[in-house]
Amino acid sequence: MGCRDPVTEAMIIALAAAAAAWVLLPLLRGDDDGPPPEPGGAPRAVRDAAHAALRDFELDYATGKISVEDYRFLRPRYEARANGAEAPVPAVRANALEGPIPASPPNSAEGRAMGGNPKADAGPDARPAPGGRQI
Amino acid sequence: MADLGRFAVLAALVLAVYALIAAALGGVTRRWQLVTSGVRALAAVAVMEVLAAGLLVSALAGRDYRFAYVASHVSNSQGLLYDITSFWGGMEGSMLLWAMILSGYSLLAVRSISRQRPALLPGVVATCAGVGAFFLFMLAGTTSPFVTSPFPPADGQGMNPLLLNTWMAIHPPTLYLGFVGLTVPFAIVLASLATRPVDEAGVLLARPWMLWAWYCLSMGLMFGAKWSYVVLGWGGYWAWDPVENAALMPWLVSTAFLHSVMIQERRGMLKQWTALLVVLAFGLSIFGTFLTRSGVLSSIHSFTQSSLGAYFLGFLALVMLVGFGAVAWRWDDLRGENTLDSALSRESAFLLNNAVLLSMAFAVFLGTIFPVLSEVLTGRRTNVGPPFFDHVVAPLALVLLLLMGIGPLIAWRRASAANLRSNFLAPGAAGVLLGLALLAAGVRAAGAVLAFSLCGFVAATIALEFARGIRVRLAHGSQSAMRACAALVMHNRRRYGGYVVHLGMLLLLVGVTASSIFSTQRLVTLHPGDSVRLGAYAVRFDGLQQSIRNGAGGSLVVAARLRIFNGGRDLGALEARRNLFLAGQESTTDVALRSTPRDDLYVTLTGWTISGDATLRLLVNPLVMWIWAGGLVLTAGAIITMLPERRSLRVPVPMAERAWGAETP
Repeated sequence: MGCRDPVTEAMIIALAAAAAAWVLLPLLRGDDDGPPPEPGGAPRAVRDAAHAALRDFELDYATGKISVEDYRFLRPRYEARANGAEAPVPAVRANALEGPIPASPPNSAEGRAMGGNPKADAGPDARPAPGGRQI
Repeated sequence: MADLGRFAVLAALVLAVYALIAAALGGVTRRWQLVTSGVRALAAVAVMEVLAAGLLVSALAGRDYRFAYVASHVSNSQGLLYDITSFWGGMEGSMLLWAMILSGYSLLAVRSISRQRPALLPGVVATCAGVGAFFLFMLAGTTSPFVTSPFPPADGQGMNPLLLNTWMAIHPPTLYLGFVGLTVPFAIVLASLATRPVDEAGVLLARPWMLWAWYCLSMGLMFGAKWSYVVLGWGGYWAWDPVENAALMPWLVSTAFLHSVMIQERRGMLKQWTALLVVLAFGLSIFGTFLTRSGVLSSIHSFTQSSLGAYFLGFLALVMLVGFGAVAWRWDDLRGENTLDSALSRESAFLLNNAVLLSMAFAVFLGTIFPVLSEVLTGRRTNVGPPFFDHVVAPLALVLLLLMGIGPLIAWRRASAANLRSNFLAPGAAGVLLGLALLAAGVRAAGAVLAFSLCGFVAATIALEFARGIRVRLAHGSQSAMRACAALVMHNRRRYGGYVVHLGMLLLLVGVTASSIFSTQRLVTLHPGDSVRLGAYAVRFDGLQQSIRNGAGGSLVVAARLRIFNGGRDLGALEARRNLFLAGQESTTDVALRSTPRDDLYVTLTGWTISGDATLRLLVNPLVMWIWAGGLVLTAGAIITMLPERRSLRVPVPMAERAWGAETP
């Protein structure tokens, strides 16, 4: 740096050493623990979106903006998304270059989230888990 | 101190490059230790930037003129507040602020993503570090705020007097919060595109960040408009200046995203489109920075001509290549789960809304870069000016206004005749009646009648939405309409927060329409004691007054003393002033402004004679206050929308029967 002030020089050396130690410490530890476990259920943003969509959908129906036919068609899908968002998260890999991961089994959370919930597909008369009316 | 500052910037650059490489390598090789090390490097970058910023602020506040940056932006007569705000008043300081905000956002994003979707962390860290590294490279190489002079001056130049204003003190950082905020959605979407399978959560995780950036851009634009109105003295608030346009373009694109992401959330459609919008919004934020800092276009806001343009252009090209390339790479994986069922549906209305917003952004882009394009193609620089923007953007804004009313009411999937009738009859009638009332009242400006009618239509749709929602809640046991309304908003924050934002936009559009079309003005020269009428106001000129003002190098202040009357009623005194700065050739205007919800009386002193006559420019601008009120309402709506959704693990049961609705099974 070409600085002459010894105090500044000392500060720079101390800062550089501290930064290097702070950054490199994880690499000096033993085994790699791997990525932290995915939280149980979809990310909060996804859960919030799924629930907000279902609430909105119900409100749209209640205020006459969705026909009964479309309500019967769409509600199981919204419901499946909301249920799926609460289920364990489907696996994703940070690196897309690694090649495909195996398809999820038919009863996996991912399968349900994508509309494969047999209970939800039974139509609007199939009641989900007990819950309060939320609009 | 300068050595320490230079070291902090250089160390931050090295650490950012390390974070980029470590996170990317850790993601590819699945060695999480590397990712953790990259995250730590990102935190260290933030510490180094805070240190650098602290040193610079300390030099500014202490008026240490050894620093070239301090000598250029601070003076002995400048107030301490503006000494400190000059941190972002110049190119170098604003770049450091940019990098620092990005580090703050990056750490928040790391915290949020590692809790919600750790698989996205390597991509987010690498992208944020990569963007940060570019800005730090500029700071370390070409725009260092720590350049020192061996012969420091006794006094500095100080900031441009036009910038010594509260609105200008907060306008740039607010805009930066918006511009820089667009980096995080870009990083999240890029990271989600790098996962296998494509992580659909990415766009949804990006949404809150986009909303925040959109809000900051909105407020930044609003503060800039207010500054332009009260400081520049030309009587307007928006001049289609290139730098204003630079902030408007990402605002338009992020608005489009916030609408299209709803379609993705609800119908699993438009995934490719929303990803493209995120990339485009970020690209436009870098383009805006390029415009402001390259000097290719002249603007009152821009920094001086510099050599940064080529770097920014190169970085912009890289960002666009990587962003659009990633979307193209995963195009097939982003295909929607559903297709459009009908042209008459909410999905179609939102899609059209996106098309209009993007058309507006493209028109603004074209008009902004036209001087450069024309110079490249013809060798002559031609500016298109405000008439181009007004003629192209205004009709599109009217279409957008119409869609603002249609979108919330039209049915998802497909709208039936009964749906259209029950939802649009009353608001449509309200809009038509308002138009007829305006015509009956003698309003003949077709554009204004159309705009106000559409505003009436949209306001009626919002009122109808609230009324119906309240009625549903009352039917479900709410005790009063007020409680029902509060519960409705709190249980459906995004939706009703969005309506409040729409209401704010309506107020803004009413204000813009009225003040653009019905503004009246006069330019008069008056002797002391003379009066002039404009609209409902009478303005009496009571003479000139001169004084010397200390601060900012000292200035000679010439004030025209005015007395305002309305229908014989004395409304009080005002002063329209000109400040002639003793150092340099600059002068500023202090507007005599009387604001009411109905109109603004806006008077500027444009000239005077030795005999004491004054030349005044008087304007009556109707409903300008509605624009600023629109900003407050928009803020309220944005806060409601940004509040976290109420957590619920229960899926709502189907409605037993509809509380409102014309259709029958």
